Amino acid sequence: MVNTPATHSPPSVRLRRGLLAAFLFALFMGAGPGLYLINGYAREGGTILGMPALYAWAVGWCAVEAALVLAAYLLIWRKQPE
Amino acid sequence: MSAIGTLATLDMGPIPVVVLGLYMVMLIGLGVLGYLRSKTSEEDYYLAGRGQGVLVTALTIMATFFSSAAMMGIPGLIYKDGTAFLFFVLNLPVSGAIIYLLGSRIRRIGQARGYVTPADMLADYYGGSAVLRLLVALVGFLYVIPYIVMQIKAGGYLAQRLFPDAGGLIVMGHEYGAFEVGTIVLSVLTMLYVLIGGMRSVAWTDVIQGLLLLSGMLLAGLATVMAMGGVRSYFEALQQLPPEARSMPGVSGAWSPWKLLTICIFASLATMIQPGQWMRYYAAKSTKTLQRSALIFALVLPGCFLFGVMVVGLGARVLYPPAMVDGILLPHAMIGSSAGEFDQVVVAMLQQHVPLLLGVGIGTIAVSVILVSVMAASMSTADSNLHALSAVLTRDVYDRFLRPQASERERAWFGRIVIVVATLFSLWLVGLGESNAGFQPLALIASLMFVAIGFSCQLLPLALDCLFVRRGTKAGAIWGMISGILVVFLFTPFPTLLLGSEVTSTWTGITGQLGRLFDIGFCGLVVNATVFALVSRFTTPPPAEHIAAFARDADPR
Repeated sequence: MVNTPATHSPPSVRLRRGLLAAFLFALFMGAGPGLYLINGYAREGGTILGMPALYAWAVGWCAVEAALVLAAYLLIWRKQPE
Repeated sequence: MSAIGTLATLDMGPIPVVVLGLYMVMLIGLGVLGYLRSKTSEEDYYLAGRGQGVLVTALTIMATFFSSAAMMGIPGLIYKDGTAFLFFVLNLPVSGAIIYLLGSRIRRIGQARGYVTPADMLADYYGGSAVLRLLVALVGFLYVIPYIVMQIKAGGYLAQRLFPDAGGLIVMGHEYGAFEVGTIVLSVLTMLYVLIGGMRSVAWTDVIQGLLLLSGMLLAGLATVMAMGGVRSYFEALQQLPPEARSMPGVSGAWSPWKLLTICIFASLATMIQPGQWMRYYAAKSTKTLQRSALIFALVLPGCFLFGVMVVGLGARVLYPPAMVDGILLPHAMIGSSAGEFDQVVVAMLQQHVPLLLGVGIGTIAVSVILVSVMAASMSTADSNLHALSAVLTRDVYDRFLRPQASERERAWFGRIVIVVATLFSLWLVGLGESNAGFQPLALIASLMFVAIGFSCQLLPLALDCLFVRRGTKAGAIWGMISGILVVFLFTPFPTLLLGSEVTSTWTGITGQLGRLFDIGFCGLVVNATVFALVSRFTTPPPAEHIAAFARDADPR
């Protein structure tokens, strides 16, 4: 049996942290200050894929969040003991 | 936009009454069925034997989460403010994740130690503190009552819309209008099936109401897009929105990114740990049940919002733009006549367009079904909150402080009396709001929602400490909660009502500024968590073995 160095995180911990960081990033971009990146364009009447820019931005980041919850379910939660 | 232009209110005939009648009979039937399947124990009445499976758990959590705000308040805010409030939807995947992350630990501890209410767990962790138990019960009360009030109001609005020409109902010399009849019918019916069958009836009716709600939300969106000529025409029409309605911070200037971010994180957390949801975690059969419920919640609900009721709110913003009258933003005459009637946008839009689109016969049935789903949204939240309030006041107040020697039977009766009194009290508050046009605390459904959530948010530091951190103390928890509750209270109109505007002008200026920047609950939470941490630093924590036992029960890994 090989001892893992103390500084090396087990994959599940790294995965958990990675998903959490990605989730927080999606929140920050979607419903937080990331909105400033798109707001000027939206105010001028800009569109993304034919949708008003803010609408598309909300759909996109919400899809990212939902996908991250799905990933957490498949990769982490399901493997937890009862 | 084929249907636009013919805007006369259509006579829907007896169909809404028939659909509503069938729905009500079904609810009472489920209430009776729940009663027949129940056992006599208190735990069974409040937690349905802790054996609820995935379908029931997922739908009862969703139905409890989505109140009249889902079908009225939130689309109303989008109609009023435009695309800025769309970002509220990002709180849904957060809430879904919380169901698993917090819910599974709450369930495990609850199962291991036989807890029924949030205060059972929190007070036990902090050494059985009576003060803390009462504070947690108070937060439950402060959350539940505004929520029940807004559900009852929704019943009134619905009745007004469905039966605009109905004459008043005269009972013992007093004439009750459509609004009053609607509020009474919704509250009495809800009260009845909660009384009869407890959690089992509440959860079963929530399943039906949840399905109705989800399909109603999507149907409403679909009907709006069809009425506006299809997807392409719909999005082209949205280009007509004025710049302030298609960008941040919205028409009223209320929705800054920081405020939305704090709502998405902290309002989600607060809503998912309110007493009704907390008890649903206790009632879940297993961790797997909560995992799957979390996933269903996070994947299904955002779609119902983004492609359902939010589509209606934006469509209405184009078709019937609100107007500024004497410095006050008012809805279009087709939607409502006062600043409090933005909430009626979904009901008004459907009534105007669906019968024209599908023909009067099928259209009227479709509208009736969707309007029943508005009622379902209200009832499914009112029932859960009434039921939770009954548990909180019975177990955390009556059983602990007033009649510790009470038998299980006596407690069951007290719990039922609580349900009746809370219903009547909420009805009285609705009446008070309607008879005083300037009584702002009850003006808009959505503003009631944020105040209620603000109070619930004050449970968060304790819950997180108890489930994960375990470094707080009883004194820290008590003083933190008192501070947080007081801060949230300052954001409500009640200090001004109680003390007068001269006394409160300074802090209403401060809270006004803060309220524009951040979520109310978040402001209280910052003070709460700071006081909690500071006081905990200098006071004695619970014994180490007590903390270790709690940690094992929360997460046996």
